[in-house]
Amino acid sequence: MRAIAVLIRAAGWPAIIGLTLCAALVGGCALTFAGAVGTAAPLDAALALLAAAGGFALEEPAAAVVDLTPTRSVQLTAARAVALLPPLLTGCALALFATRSSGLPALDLSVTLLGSSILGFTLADVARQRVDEPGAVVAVPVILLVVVTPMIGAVARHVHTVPTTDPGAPGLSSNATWAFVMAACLLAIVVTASNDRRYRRRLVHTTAGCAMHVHQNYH
Amino acid sequence: MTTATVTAPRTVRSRNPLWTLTGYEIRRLVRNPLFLVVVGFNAYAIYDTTSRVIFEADELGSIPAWLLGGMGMIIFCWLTQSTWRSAEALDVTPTAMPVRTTALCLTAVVPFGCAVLSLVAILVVRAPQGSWTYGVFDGADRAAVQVSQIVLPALGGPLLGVAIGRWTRQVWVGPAAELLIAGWVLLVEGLAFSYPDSQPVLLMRLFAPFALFTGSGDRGDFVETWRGSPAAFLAWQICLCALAVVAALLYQADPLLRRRLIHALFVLVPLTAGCYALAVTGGLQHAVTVVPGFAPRPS
Repeated sequence: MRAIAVLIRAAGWPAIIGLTLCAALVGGCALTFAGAVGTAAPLDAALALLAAAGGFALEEPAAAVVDLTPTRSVQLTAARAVALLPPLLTGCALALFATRSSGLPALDLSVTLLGSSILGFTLADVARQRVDEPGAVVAVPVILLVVVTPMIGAVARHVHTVPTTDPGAPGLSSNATWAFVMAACLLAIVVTASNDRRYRRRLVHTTAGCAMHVHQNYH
Repeated sequence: MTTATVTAPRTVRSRNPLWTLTGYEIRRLVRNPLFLVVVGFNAYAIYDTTSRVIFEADELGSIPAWLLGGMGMIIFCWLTQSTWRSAEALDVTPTAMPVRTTALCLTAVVPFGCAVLSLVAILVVRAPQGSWTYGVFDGADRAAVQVSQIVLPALGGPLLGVAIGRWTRQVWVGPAAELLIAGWVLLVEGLAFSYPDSQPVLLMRLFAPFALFTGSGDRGDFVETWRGSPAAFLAWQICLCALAVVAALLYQADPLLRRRLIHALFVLVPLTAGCYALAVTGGLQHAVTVVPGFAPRPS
């Protein structure tokens, strides 16, 4: 427990909390008015905010030191998954709120909100192999994927990212879309967690740096 | 007698540091892979949307607004924040902070130019079903709608990004601000569909840096023109751009410049409020529905 507390200390907490609060605000407004408006379109923005929040869970400002410690990638990723709790709990609260305020099915909405947070976390996990603070790197692809891509007609006609009240809507349902995304995310997490590339990369850099230093001092 | 020819030393023309900095910032922007992705995405999205029949003229405008304006805001915010990392070196140069901020603001001309090209491409390529797809707008109002939806967000978004980047150091603030604005615009647009004649909804819809003025049915069989004056909304957007520039320049401004900027704010804020009031009170007094083949009628 103490190890987890140490490992999650460096997560981008201000970003996670800030983005989660923004998601709660946007999602809450979207669901409050969903009944009157007949659509929960602003939920796209809330999804992107939750996904971006998930992306900041793997920030490591002191990567130069941490990557050389014997902490395995699996341990680090598992511990940092705890930082996903604020966006996930917010997602659950929004789903519960949806059952009361709008006609959207709570289960579908839970899958959507869960999927978006995991998508952000996974993209950050993949980016963390090369970047020490992947949150900012992940934020823009996530926004492009979740908010902007559905605006393109060809994608919008075939893929739904937000649950609809119309069960007969053509194209891939939001459940199927996010189930596919989550399966791909879990696979990517397993693959990246199983090889400690960042440890090897840092070790090679450090060894090369030390060798250069010794060489310069010797001569 | 010998004659000595002395060549006068070549004078080195000193270039205004503002233009030099602007050149560097433009180079940094166009080398940014994110900006290239956004521009490419914008071109594809316009191609995709214009290659099919358009039932509502407004639907094209939101693409450059989100991509060049919204994503441009994030890119400019990070471009501005990236100078914090080299602050130790930059702060000892004789170039003052407002000059560096002005250079960043001038860089916004690049997404603005892309948006102008997008507008030209949209006007040339698209094939709308008929003039009814514009609602009841014609002439100046139609031009104002197009400029306010396609061109001005690409200027205002980056300028707001510079202002945010100057006043905050957290990288997450840019995306959060963009998505909050997106959420707000989507929400009020949905409300406008349901309550086209509501005064509070009109006030909310136009209290945004981007607004739609028409809405259409799912099957594209009618277009509803909403209340509000597009020309006054355009002026409101220009005022918001000016406010963003002033907010960015206020950061670390010397006392004289600060006083001038505050005086400018005394003019700009009432002007912005006036434009907003005109946008809300002007234009149609109630929503009008246009069905092809029929005369426009109140919604």
